[in-house]
Parts: sequence; C-alpha cells; structure tokens
Amino acid sequence: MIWLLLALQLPSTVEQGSKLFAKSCATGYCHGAEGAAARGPRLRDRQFDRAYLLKVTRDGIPGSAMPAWKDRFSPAEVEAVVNYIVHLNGGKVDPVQPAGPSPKADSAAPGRQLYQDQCAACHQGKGLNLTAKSIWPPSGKALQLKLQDGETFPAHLVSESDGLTIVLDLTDNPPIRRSLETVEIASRGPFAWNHPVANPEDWAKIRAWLMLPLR
Amino acid sequence: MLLNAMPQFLLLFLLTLFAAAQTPNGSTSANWPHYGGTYQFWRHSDLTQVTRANVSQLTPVWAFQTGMNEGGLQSTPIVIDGVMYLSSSGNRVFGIDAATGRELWHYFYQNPKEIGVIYSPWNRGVAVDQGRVFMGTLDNHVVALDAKSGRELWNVEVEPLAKCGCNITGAPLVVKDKVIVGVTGGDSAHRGYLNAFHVKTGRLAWRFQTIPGPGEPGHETWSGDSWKFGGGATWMTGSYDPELNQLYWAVGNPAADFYGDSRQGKNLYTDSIVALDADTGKLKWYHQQIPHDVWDWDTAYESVLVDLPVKGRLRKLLINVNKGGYTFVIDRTNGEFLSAWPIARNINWIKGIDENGNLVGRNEPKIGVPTTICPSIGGGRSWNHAAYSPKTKWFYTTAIEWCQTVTVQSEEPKEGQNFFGGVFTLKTTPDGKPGGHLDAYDPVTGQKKWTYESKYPLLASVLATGGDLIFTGDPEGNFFALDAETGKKLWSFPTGSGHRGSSISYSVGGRQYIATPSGWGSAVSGLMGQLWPEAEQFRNGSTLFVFALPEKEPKK
Repeated sequence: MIWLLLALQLPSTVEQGSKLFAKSCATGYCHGAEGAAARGPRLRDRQFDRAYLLKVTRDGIPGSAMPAWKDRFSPAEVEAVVNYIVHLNGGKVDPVQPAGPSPKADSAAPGRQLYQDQCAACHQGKGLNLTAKSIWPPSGKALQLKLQDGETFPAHLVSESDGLTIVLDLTDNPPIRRSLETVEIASRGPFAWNHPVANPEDWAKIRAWLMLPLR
Repeated sequence: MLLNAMPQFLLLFLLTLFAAAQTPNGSTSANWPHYGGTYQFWRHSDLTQVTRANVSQLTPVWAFQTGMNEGGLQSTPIVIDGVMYLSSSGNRVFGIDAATGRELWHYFYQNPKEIGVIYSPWNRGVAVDQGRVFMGTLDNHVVALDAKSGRELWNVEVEPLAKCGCNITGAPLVVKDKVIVGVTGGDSAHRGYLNAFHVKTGRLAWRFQTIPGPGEPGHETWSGDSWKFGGGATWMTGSYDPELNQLYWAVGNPAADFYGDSRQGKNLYTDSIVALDADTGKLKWYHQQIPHDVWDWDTAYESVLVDLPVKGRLRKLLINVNKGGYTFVIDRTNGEFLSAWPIARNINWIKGIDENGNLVGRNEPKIGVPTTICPSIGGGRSWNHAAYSPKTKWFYTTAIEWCQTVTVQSEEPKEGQNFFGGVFTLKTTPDGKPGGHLDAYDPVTGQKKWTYESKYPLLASVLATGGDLIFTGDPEGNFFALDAETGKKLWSFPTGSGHRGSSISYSVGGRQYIATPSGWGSAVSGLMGQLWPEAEQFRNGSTLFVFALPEKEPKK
C-alpha cells in the first residue's frame, strides 16, 4: 500500500528504484526499510554526493558487506536505486528514462561459478578479478608423505623453507592446506595423482571464462 | 603475598571439591577453557578473590588493542595456563600473556579482498585444545594454529562462499579429537549444517544437515523444494554433556525469514535444539521451539546445562533463551519440554505457550500488510549470553523492550544470496518506554528475583563469579558489577566504547583477573539508531580491558 501511494507522486525511475531497494537493499539486516539504517548505515536524511552513491552502488566497498551491484543490476537499475536514495534525502531527481530490465546474463558467468566451485580451492585467486597469472601452478609431482607419527597421505608440495613444508593434502576434495615442520616428515614417495577432470561441457565454460581478458 | 594467598588457594581447593560432588560442575577456575566457560556454558567463575566487599577497588591492570575497530569487539577470550587467546574482527588472533598483556604472537588471516563480507567482519572467538587454536573465517574456512607460535597448521574450505552465502563468525568447540564449527547463512538461500573436523588433519569427520533431505525423517515438514534453501544456520557455539556424550546445538531460523508461504510445514530442524552423538554427528533427539517461524526468531543462542529439581525430581536440564523473548527449559536426556517463561515484557507474536510447549495465539504478518510485532527483530534478547550461578542457583540474562513494523514480501530464492522475505522498521513499545534490563531468575519457574534497568538495550554477555558478583557492560561503554543477590550496582568503569562481547574471569599466580572486550559494533547495535538516534554517534573501538585488585591488599 505504501509503495502504491508513493508511486503516484514519484518520477518513474524513483518508483522503480524504490522497488529494487525494498527487495535488495532494505532487506535483512542491511539498510533498513526506506533507508532507516540497520547493520548497514542509514541512507535517508543525510547529505550524499550523487557521484559517490553511484560509485559505491556500482562497485561496492571491497572488504565490507557492501556488494558491487553492477554484477546484479543493469546500469539503468543502478541509476534508479541511486535516484531513490537521492529522493529519500530530499534531493531533486532528473526525469530520466525508466531503467530497462537487467542485461542478458554475462556469457562467462557460468564458467566463473564453475571455477569457484571446482577449482578455486587449490588455484589461488578467487572472486571477480581472477587472472590467469594468479593461478597457482602445481609446481611438482604429487607425493606420498609419511609423517613421523605414522600418518600417510598424498600431497602436492606448495613451498619449503625455514624448516617448514607447506603442502596440499589431497586426501579429500577440496584439499586441505597443511603446514608441517619438515622434521615431521619421515619419508616421501611418488604418488600417481591425476588432476580431477571437469566434464567437457563444464570445462568449456570454465575455459571460456579463464580466457576472458582482465576487466 | 604468598602467605596471604595460601588460605585462598585452600579455600578454592575445598570449594572445587565440594562443587565436584554435585554434577555437573559448569564453573571455571584459573582457566577459561571454552567459549561458554565450560562445556555446560554457565559463564560462571568460581574464583572468590574479588568479592562484593572489595569490588570497588577493582583497577585496570592492562589493556590490549586489536587495531581492528570495524564491527567492534564481540569476542570471548580463552585463557589456559596463563596464556590468553583473543580473536577480533577481520579474523585476527592474538596469543597474550594473561598476567601482563604482552603479545606473544599474532596471526592475521588474509580474507580474499575480492570477496565481500557476507555477515559483517566480526569474529566471536576461538577454541583452544591439544596445543591448537581453531578459528572459523569470514570466507568460510576453518584454520588450526599452533598455540605456542600462532603458526597455521591447516586450512580447510568448508564450502565455496559464493555457493553457500554463509561464513563463520562463531567460536568452534572441541570435543575429544574433533573440532565442531557452525556457520551463518540463515538469512540466505542455503541449507544449513554443522561440521566436525579432525583436530590433527582438518579432514571432515561428519556433517549434520539441519534440514533433512529426501527420504529422511522430517523432510516432509518442508513443502516443495523449499528445503534446499531453508536456512537453519548454526552460527553460535553449542554445549556438550560428556556423561551422555551428547552435543547440543541450537539451529537458527528458516529462510526466507518473514515469508513462509513457500515453505509450508513445521520446517524441521529450524528453531530447534538438536542433540547429536558427538562422535558421529547422528541425531539423537530434537526439540523444536517454534514450528514454521515467520518472525526470524532464530533458536541460535547458548544452551546452559544444569541439574536441578523440577517438581521434586532432580532433572538434567537444558536452558535456552529464544530471540522471540521466551526461555525454554527441556530435559537434556530426551528433549522433553518442561517449561517456558518470558524474559521480555513486550511480546505480541504469540499470546503464550501451553504446558506442552505449544505456541498459543500466533500473530503472523501477512504479505504487504505492515504489522506491529514485539519484540523487534533485534530480539527480546540478542545473542549476548546469560550466566548461571551455582551459588544462588539463579539464571542471569539481559532482555530488550522494543517493537517493529514488519512488511512481508514474497521472494524467490537465489542460491547463496540474501533470502529474507520482508522489511522492518523499529518502533517504540506501547508504553513508550523502550530499553533494556538485566534480570535474575529461578531458571525452572522463571520467577524473577531482581531487575536492573538500563536506558539502552544491554548487548554484552553476563558473567557470574564466586564472589557473588554479576558483570556486564552497556552501549555507552561502562563495564559494571552488580550484587548477584540483589542486583545493586557496586562498581562501574568507563572503557570508552560500547560493550558487545563477553567478559570472563581467570587467575594467574593466584591473582584473579576480570577481562572484558570493549568495542561498539554489530547488526543489532546498528539497528539501535532507529529508536535512539544518538546511538549512531556511539564510538567504535576494539580493546580488551583487564581488571584486578591492587597487588597489595589494603588493610581491612
């Protein structure tokens, strides 16, 4: 009801922004209904720079709970939400064309998701800015490690220095990164280990995403 | 000094013997070995050096800054043999000399920058056992550190964060050779679980899914595919009864929180206490407090294990405060409901709870219709823990008086993404007096013994000590002590930032210390600004304050 009443008096982008805000920003413990504040900061009755709002909404705040909405909203939808926040702060909203629906899903998105599910636990770099360069190359062959206490397990060597040996324990998937004192290792033998293979369909998608130039 | 301390040691020894004769002894002594103090989660220290008579002389002896203010300091320190293990926001862990405050080592976990923080940056504690420190991380990993050096021993990913929309903010619990870790995710489209990892290797030992899958008993309590995204987080730390070998964990709300139409049924095991075999993770029994929760009442808080007479018969009890403002008392051998009693004055989502534990007069908000619900989503109490004193045999808990307007929205789940189903705005109470209080109760009957009123909600845990004292802190930064028998304030110290963590007591070399986190932050403290605008200006911080009596005892 409240939304309907508001909608009668608002420019259409603000109306659209209010709906997007209610579903995505007001929800949970985030910014609260109509920006009244919750876990996220209060967004009403303050003085915001519109350019700042646009930037933060689009790109998020790295390392914080604020996501980059450019991954979920179209540019026009980001504009609509920002217009709504400007409206909450008593600002004037330029009449702009109502935002269209979200753009077609990023064609590489399935590959990115598959990578995160299947590869990211071993290969360094996660998230949206992963580059081929940052992928960890398994530097050596897999080993069968035997520890002084009798435990044996297959492992990939990650690094060895200062009396410490860091390995990926391959017993389970995803592997567990373990740091051992080198003296804990009783013996090292060869281990025939094959990289898990994604099904061809998945691999094609993962590869399509990996080959994308860095944004 | 030594001579002076000797009688106290003897007294302590005798008291410990006496307490051990009555099972279980849930009090701590020199150490504070587990998140809840002991497996029984009493948050009671049997140390008696600091008493009602001398608490006014309590003096800060050291302070420790974590350097990470965002989200405040919500942690419970662990102390074992004179070493304190403290975690802070951003997954920092410190090994500290518990007598002097000197840092022994630190470990800063590197959360991937590309990953946003799902449920904010805080961490509520570590577990320490068998020479290892265990912590859950903001990107849903579990790490084990060497307790002497802070060196990482293993690091395992629980589930890709993008998939689960969850992470770990609660403290793990070590039982025998396993470390048990719960996850957040109750407000995401996610199917919750509790994990146990082998202490030495980090390998998964068992996983208990909080929502039964196809073919399992309880699966029929979810309509359609709603079980796949039904929440049921395990975000706080559980309790353990060594004698029964039962692990008790509280399972949070179903998702979407407010929108329940698409998940018809009781929605097991959300809003339930589950008792698991600690070795296998197999369900032994459950008690559901709130079937088909549509208020986000999150049965997630601590379970306090005590043995007390009920109607003339000694029973093994489990006491659990629910976010909706009721305390549930059940038999921890089999889950039988015994009683439920309110801690908040403003409760309107039900009219009451009958003698069999059934909710009476449910007040469910409808889609698109703004509805006043008391308490607010911040809870009739927040997660900050209660304490039980074996001396008074009373239960000490905080409570909050506040309401909200809820508007339910229909919502489709998207895996790993926020799944809430509504919005809310805080409102004052019908009597126009929102605020907080700390009360002492008979834990079985809920009979109130005394009340300490607070202008603002009290969001820090309660600590009870053998010196007949109750400690907690307030949002304005005051850390204070009350008389456990009367609730009278006996001492207060301004720490400079609001309290949202859990104070503890321990001793090193015969000297008793009281330690409290000071550092304002969290989701619920963020909500406070809606009712108390000045709360937006409350200062952040992240400091551990440690108090003791002056070394030379004044003449009596």
